[in-house]
Amino acid sequence: MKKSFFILVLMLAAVILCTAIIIFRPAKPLDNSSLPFEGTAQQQAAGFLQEQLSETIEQLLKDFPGDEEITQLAARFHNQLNRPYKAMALLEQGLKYHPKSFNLCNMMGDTAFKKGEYDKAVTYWTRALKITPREIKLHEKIADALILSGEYNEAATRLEVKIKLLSPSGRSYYLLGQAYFQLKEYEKAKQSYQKAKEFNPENIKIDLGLGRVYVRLKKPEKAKYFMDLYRAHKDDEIHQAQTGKATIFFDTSLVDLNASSQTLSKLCVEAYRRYESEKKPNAASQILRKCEDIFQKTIEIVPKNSNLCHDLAFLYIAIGSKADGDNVAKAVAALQRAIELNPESSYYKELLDGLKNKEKK
Amino acid sequence: MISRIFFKNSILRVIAIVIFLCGTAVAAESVDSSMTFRDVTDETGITFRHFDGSSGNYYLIESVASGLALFDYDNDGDTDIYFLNGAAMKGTKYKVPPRNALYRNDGNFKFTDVTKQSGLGDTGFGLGVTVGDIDNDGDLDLYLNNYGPNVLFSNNGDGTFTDITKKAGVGNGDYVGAGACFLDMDKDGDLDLYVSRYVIFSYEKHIQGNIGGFPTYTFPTIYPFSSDSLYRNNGDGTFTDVSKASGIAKQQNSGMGVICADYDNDGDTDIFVANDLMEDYLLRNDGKGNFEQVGLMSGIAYDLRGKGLASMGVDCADYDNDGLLDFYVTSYSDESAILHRNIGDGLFEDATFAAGAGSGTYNSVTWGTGFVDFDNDGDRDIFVATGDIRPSFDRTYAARNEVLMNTGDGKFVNITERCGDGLKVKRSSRGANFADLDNDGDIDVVILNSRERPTILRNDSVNNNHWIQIRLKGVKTNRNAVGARVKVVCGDLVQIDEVHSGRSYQGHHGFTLHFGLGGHKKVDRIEVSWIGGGVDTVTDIEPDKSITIVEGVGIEK
Repeated sequence: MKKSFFILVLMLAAVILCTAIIIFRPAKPLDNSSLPFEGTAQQQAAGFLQEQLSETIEQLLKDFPGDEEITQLAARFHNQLNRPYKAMALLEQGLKYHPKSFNLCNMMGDTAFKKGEYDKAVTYWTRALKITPREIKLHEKIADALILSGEYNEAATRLEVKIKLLSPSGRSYYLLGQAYFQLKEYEKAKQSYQKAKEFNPENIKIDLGLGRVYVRLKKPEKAKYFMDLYRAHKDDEIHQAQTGKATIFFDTSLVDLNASSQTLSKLCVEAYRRYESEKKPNAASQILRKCEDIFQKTIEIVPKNSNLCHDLAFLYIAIGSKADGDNVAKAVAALQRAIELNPESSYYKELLDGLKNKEKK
Repeated sequence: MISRIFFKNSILRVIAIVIFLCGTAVAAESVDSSMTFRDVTDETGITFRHFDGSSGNYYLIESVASGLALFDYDNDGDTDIYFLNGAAMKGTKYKVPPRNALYRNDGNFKFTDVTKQSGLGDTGFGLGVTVGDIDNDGDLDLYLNNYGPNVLFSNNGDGTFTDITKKAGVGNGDYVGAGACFLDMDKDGDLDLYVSRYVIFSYEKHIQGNIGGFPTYTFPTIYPFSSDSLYRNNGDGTFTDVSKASGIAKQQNSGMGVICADYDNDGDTDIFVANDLMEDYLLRNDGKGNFEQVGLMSGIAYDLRGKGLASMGVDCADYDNDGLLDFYVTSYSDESAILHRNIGDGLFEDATFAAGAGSGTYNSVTWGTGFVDFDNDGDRDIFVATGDIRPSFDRTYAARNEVLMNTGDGKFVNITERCGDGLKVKRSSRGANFADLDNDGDIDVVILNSRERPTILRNDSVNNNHWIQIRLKGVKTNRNAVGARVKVVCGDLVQIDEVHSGRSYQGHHGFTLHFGLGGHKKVDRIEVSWIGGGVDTVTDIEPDKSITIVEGVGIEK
């Protein structure tokens, strides 16, 4: 009897202990010790930061569903990393809350265009144009997408109107040349390309357009002249690549890393401000700590990346010294580290000087 | 009163919605998919598996392997299958080296592995292949365009092959191969050989890329290019390298798929080369085997926006039945495969967008392709094999192949979703070639999948359309009539086709020409323009059968 009572007490104690451990365990710190990413430190850092940022975005969009600024930042991040479908899904969600947002419509059009969904691009850019009719460059974007949808007549009409009534530009004339070329109106195409050339004499795509038009107009010598210009440029591009002189993005990890770092910083500031305005200081502190932690872990992987230090400093500066400690001092420290890593940057120095002056005042 | 109007309006609203939905359903059905493909791979007995030689180091060559050939190696009247295979790259070891495989067609979609007895189990790194009767002895020989030395196999006529590369002089050095074609460039009655090369690969120059957090292959443009090769058949089992004399060696390019065709209807065979990340080449033949590169002037070198696409595979046919051969070229992801419409006078226009021919090709890398009349309605549809070279955030290595139906008015509609289980298969496909494997009057599909087993699609389309299949037998001209032009006339339906050796993605098919005839119950006339200049005409032919037309004779009894 005594024995079974003792066992029961022991079991109860074990259950209480386990429950206590579960309830009072410290928050799991971010762990970058077993990164799932292979490759160089830079590639690992980019991968780690991207994953953390994706998670943060998910969390923020749960807390602030459809928030225009956060949606834009998130969509831009996914676009930068060549994740257009993810970007489009976020934008679509954002547009449910802000159907008259020019920025969201415009970005949706851009993203759809990038993915070859030209009809969708036309739809969203047209919507953006209705919201902000003064954005006349949208006419060019729409015309470009119309051409790639095979709607040459519609593209030409739109461009003619834009040129006559709003403002002529090299791009408008170039696109008009493309539309007329496809419509087999070669004289008009030639005139349009020539006008485009007046605006942008260095644009070699116009040379190709002119070359093609002269072929159709049965003027082979002129055609050859312009075609040769274009080919020389293209041959040079290949030569530059083969001799290692061209910047080929066979490794985008640095670009990805910097883009993600910048987005994280901006996103954190936006989120912090929103939590504050909703009188949720704990949530504001938490997001700041989380982003700080992500930055620190990333810096541990690539300690010589000055951009990360700068973006961390930006985060502190934008938030300012409030309940979360001396953010200005933290910003100064981060900037000093950025300058140590990149002593050539006058921008960092100016930023640091400005910050110190502000601190003195 | 108000409630009555509301009630009435509600009923009207419901009626309107029902009418709208019915209308939408009717509209969706109005473009009728009449094509069905069934994945019958498991039933065929084909056990071939492709290896790309990869070790995780992302060597460029791995990503572009391999093509396949469909041809009747044993002259028994049905089409057999030859798959190319990769080989170990640095850092990879195989217990048993991968080898190419030949499968004999036993009928009813049953195949037997005859690689060993045929002698075609080459273990080189296979990239491209073509087929032709180089000695006009009535059986088909085979040329392999490898990474490393190339191989020419002579068919002994008894189901076995002999490597005659050395004697023939077509080893082509130690390059990275791509597409290859036989053609009679000088109309002397024997087949010459065009051999494309990709890049001059070296392990020293190799760089592993990383895009968006995913390891990847680097761009081909970091490697030097070399010129392609052209060999003249001496008629005695040997070939002479005429690359310089013919004008081929003037250019250095990153060749992939190749097809030889008379694009300007001047009676000689020209050459189209799909180049990776640079302008595509169109080599115009002067009729004597001298070539001028006219891609840029003809309008076929770049897409509408002036972009040199990462071109992969190519096929040509007269998709709009205007008597001119058009070209369809596959390319990389984030760019559409491109349809070059032949507008006469040796000129082309980019008709991709106006024709809707890029539909479904933007999101993945596209490879093998064919203009094939799958539903026998008298116009050419398009098949596109797709598959990425690496996984990424938005995409997977495997992808779905695409079918674009020709609507008969110069436009295409993507009907992949409605083509049966065969088009639901997701692999990373490379080569795709087309033939009537079961001789039932419609064209089936064979797809080589990277790092996987192949996919065999049986065309199970149900329709009442008629068809005719034509084999040509050259007498004065080359035996399989490579380069010959055929015109089939059925009332107001006039179609042309040409015999090609080498097409799609670095592969081969099509010595039997297939014409869908729609509802036409009789073929009024068939005209054959042989590559030497002669023309044979046969009239009043019953449809739904396969015929052989012999040069100077007519239909073979």
